[in-house]
Amino acid sequence: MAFLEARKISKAFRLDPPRRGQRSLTNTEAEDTRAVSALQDVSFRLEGGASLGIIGSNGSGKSTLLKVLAGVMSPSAGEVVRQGRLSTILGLAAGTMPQLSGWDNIVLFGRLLGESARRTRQVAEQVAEFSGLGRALHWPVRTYSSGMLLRLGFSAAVHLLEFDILLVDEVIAVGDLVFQKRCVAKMQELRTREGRILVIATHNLGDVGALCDRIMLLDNGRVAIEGKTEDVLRHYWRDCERALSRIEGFRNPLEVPQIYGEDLATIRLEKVRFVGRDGQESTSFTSGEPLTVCIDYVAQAEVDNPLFRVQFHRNDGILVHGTNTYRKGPERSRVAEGRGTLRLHYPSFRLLQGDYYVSVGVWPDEYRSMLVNQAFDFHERAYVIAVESRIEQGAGVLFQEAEWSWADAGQENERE
Amino acid sequence: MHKRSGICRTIRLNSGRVWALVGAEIKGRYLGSALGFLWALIHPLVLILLYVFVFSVVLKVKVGRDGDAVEYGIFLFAGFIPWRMIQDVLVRAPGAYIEKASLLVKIPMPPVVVPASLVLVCLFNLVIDLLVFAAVLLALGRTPSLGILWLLPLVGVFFLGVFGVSLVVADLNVRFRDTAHVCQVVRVLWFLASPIIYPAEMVPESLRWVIDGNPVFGVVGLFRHALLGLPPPPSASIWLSAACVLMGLALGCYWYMRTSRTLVDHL
Repeated sequence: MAFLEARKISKAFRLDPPRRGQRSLTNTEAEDTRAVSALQDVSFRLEGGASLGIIGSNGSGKSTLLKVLAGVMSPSAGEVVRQGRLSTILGLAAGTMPQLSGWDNIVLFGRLLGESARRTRQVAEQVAEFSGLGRALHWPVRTYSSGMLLRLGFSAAVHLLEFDILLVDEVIAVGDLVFQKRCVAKMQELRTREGRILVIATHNLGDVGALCDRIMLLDNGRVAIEGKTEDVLRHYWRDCERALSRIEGFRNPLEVPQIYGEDLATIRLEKVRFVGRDGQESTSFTSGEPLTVCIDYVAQAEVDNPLFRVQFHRNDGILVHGTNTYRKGPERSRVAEGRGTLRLHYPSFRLLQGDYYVSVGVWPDEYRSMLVNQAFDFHERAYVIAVESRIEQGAGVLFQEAEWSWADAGQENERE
Repeated sequence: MHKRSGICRTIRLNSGRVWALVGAEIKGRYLGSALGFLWALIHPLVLILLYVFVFSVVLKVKVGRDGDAVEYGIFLFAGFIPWRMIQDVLVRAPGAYIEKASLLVKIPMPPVVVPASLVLVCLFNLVIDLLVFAAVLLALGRTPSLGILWLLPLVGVFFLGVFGVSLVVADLNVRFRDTAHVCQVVRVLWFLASPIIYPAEMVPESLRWVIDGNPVFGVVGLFRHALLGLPPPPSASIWLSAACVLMGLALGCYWYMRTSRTLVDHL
């Protein structure tokens, strides 16, 4: 029975190339104080038909872990124990010869993976069909786009070898939608129908959800969480939300290209207040009740026709509502020098239960400022309001007035 | 996952990969050029003619007593054949691992596959050179003696030595990128310090130590002995060459066993 087991794997890299005389040439495994730890104490065991998704931010050690599992890199400590043949997709264009045609590269790739020349030629046809590359297979691979390279590499990796274990590093994302779906379907089939072991590193939680029964979340080379897909995803999302809520008063410090002659610090947002039905400042509100956003600003000089914008985002980032003064503004379009307050009033604020991030900003104009991402002042997702709603008001994001009724009285009676 | 098995066993187990790389390399090199494979013949011939012009016609270097330009050309060609292999390795081995980094980092295989395929491609070139040389000899109406059979063991042993050196050089350059530059300088100096474009007899007595201490002398001399029936080099030079070849191979294998585990970390 095939299995793949990681026993307390650690991997450390040296940051700088060592200076001459600092270590002997042949003893390269000596301890070095400037080592950076890329993986620490990673352990798991997978058996036939099991699949593990590895997620984590950039630089968290996903690719290193896959390389160590593949045996491309040796762990600094611990060991990988494996039974069964291995196929890998650790990167695009791995081992391809750019001058050779797609066909030649399929054969080359198969043999580099360790397959015999005869079998490689036998299955090359299947590889070509799955890849859908058609006559492009006769072109030199240097002319391929990254999506085409993925098609070639993935098709070769899943067909050429009679493998038991497949390691896939985040590459599928470069394929077009059709091929991505085909890849996911193929991996499903490999795992469930053919009982192969699958390890995927990815940023695409959708893929992980579809393919993996376990997830490992890596954080700076350590296993932050490892467990059933459902459990880990819950944790992961909560972490992401927390990270989002930390982005406060974010302003993009882009200066070039400067398209505005004047200094953009002309209007400053001093304070943004949220006022509920009782006229009191608050951060929690009730769905369907009035809400007023008060924007206190200071203008250093008179500004002609600035744009004020208010946006509400749900905690997963979706923009649920936004409005600005150009689309439906107050009559006065000039802002005089000095302090002032602009009010945005909702007679009935109709977002449903949840936490919402509010972005408030003021720009010189609507579209031009978007080009250079410049604002007079912009408080991006700087405020959080909590909305309470009753269960009768519905589920989702939006509260809509609605009523159920039967189309005719007769049906109602029958059901009784 | 490759364990620390012997280097011979590793190569035997991975011979399919080695041959696949050799084939792709040879195919890829000439694919897409109009003359294609002909370049493998044109390149050495042009070089030889150039040297013949400069050294025999212009500078009047003589081989033997009544050596004319043709005699010099053949003499030069015979010495050039083993030198080209050394030169190829000095030029290409330093970049071998780096050039194939995407392969080594992304497909599980023992790194030795790369230098092994590299020296095999060089060996392929050497065989082509030998065939061209044989064709030239026949065209000139000469038939080689039976001594040519010496080539088989000679090339074999020489090949192993070159392989050993390539293992060291390729790995060193990954860790110290100066290696490639050092190799370039060494190549130029070594070429001039070897009796390839001039016969060893022309070297003045005061500089004779350069030739006697140069392991290439033995190799080149033996090639000329086998190909042209020229007198063999002194046995001291032969022993020196043999010792260097063995040392190169031993050092290469030892080096590889000690360092291959950490190679990928540095790529």
